Amino acid sequence: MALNPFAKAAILTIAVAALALVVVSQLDDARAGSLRKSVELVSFESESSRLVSEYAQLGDGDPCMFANFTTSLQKERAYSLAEKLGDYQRSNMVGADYEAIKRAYFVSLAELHIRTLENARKCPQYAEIPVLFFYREAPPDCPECRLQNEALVLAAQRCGNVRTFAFPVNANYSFIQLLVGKYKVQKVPAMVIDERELVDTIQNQDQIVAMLEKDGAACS
Amino acid sequence: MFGIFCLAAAVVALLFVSYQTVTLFYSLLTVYIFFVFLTIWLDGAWRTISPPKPAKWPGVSIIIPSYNSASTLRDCVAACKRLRYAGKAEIIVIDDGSTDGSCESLRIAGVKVFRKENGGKASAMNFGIKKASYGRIVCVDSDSYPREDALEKMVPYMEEDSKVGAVVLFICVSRPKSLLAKVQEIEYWVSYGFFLKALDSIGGLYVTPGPMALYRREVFEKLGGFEEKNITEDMEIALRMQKNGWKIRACHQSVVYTEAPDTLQGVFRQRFRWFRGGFANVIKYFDMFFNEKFGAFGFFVLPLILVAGFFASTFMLWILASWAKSALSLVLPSLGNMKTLGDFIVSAPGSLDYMAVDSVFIFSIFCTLIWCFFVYKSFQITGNRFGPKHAVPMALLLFAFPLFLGFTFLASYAAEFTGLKRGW
Repeated sequence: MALNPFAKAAILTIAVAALALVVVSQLDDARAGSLRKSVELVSFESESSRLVSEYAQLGDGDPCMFANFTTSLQKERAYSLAEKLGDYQRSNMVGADYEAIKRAYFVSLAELHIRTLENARKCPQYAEIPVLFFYREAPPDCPECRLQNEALVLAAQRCGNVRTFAFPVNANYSFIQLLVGKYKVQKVPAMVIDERELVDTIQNQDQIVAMLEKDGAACS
Repeated sequence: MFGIFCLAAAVVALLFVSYQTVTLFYSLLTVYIFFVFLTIWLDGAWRTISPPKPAKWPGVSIIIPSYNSASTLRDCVAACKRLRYAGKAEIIVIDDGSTDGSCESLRIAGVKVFRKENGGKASAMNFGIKKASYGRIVCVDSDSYPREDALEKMVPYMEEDSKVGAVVLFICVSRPKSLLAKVQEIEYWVSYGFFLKALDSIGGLYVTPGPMALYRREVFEKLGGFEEKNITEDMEIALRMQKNGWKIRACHQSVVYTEAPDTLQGVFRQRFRWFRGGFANVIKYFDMFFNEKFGAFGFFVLPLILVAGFFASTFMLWILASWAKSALSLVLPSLGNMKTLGDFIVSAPGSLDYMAVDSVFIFSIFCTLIWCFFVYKSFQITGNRFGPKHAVPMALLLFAFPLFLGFTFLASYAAEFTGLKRGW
């Protein structure tokens, strides 16, 4: 029986839709896989820091001798990884549970932040200056957040002992909302430098370096 | 009225549906529509079977309605005089109350000139039909220039079948100079080339374009003349013909060249009238929608006209709402946190990551590939080859022109909904 063009087109469309579903689901799994690896690195670093701290407490010697032993989280990864998570989650139709990956990521990041603060208090000679960066997850898009992050990353790269942690203010995680409330973050993008100074106006790279140097960062 | 209500309700409903659902549905629909045209083409629309020459060539009255067309009228009349035709033909110019003296100095042998009070193009054509002597009527816009063989190729299509009420032809832009005119040139090739040929093969022609169209006089006698208050009377008469069982055929071997606006303002005015008139006409003939009496025309062509305009204007509405919100949030920062559906469209991923691919992207690839096939075939129909000079107009046609048209659709629908006075 000869099919009319409308029926043929319907069959072709269903075939294309099925193909798209298969391809996107494969991509979703691949994307989720690569993101999980990155998130696991953050978790590993957080766990390593915790273990180092506990080992140091067990020993009789100087607890700070192990304080410098951490694998370095690539400083520019924090925000871009979170942004990638957001993009993939928006593109996601089937398959991977990006919410679970995102949750694990931000929990690990928050733990790493706490370790950094503990380290700074116990071993000031090895302390890193933490910079909390608050942004807004799309939608709606926050181009000024992206801009500010680029300046912050470049500034952090110039300063050896600075570590950045990026958190979205519109994520519904209690520990992030705690930080937002603690530092009274009203608008984004916003930075909290060394737990003290809230900066919620756009700063360029040199301005951020000047602020970090004021807090004791060793910048070039 | 009911149709307008349904559409307004649909737009409001869309505001509460998620962006992903809407874009997925729209993408799937676009893929389906493109596949329909592709299968229509491959099923046989690509064939050109010329009808036999008639044993006796009927007399033809060429009517040229004119209003203040001093810059183009003489060239139009000259082109009509050069038409090769074995039967009898007359040229009638209807001066619709021009104030530029364009018709007063028009004294050309074999051309009849009649003057009337200004009443619009449709009234001028109706006036000309009454003055016409013959049974075949050709309406030619005063800024259009038919090729010499246009008439002798169109007439056999009408004579082959007594149910053919109108024959349309291939419309090309005349001497495009500006980039905007070149964009429209390619647009016309695709619209009046590929799509017109495809629609012709399923009896789906919904307009007898103003630049030039051939009519059987009997159509006007039985259905009445052009609707004089209608701003797209060429579409209205075509829909009326389809509703009353008349066929409309397309003759791609015939070509007419027409002037296209070469300013954005000019294009906006033209398309605003087209879209507004088109919407009003489609609502007027709403009873043809999904009516099995009209076959593919009722099930596919008419809904397609409405869907295309509906989605174009809805997406543009969302984009404008998002831009307005961004601008207003400079004054009212709290607005910046408000989510609008348009935000999804205007926000782009921070990095062009190849991995940020979703199903809509894959459908877009398919649609783009099929579109390239349509464009390739359109160039073939026109006898042109795609070259470097077409690259920039093509890119604009693909990426910029749709935004402009979306805005025009939105403006025209808003004008229609608010009851703004219609005019040329």
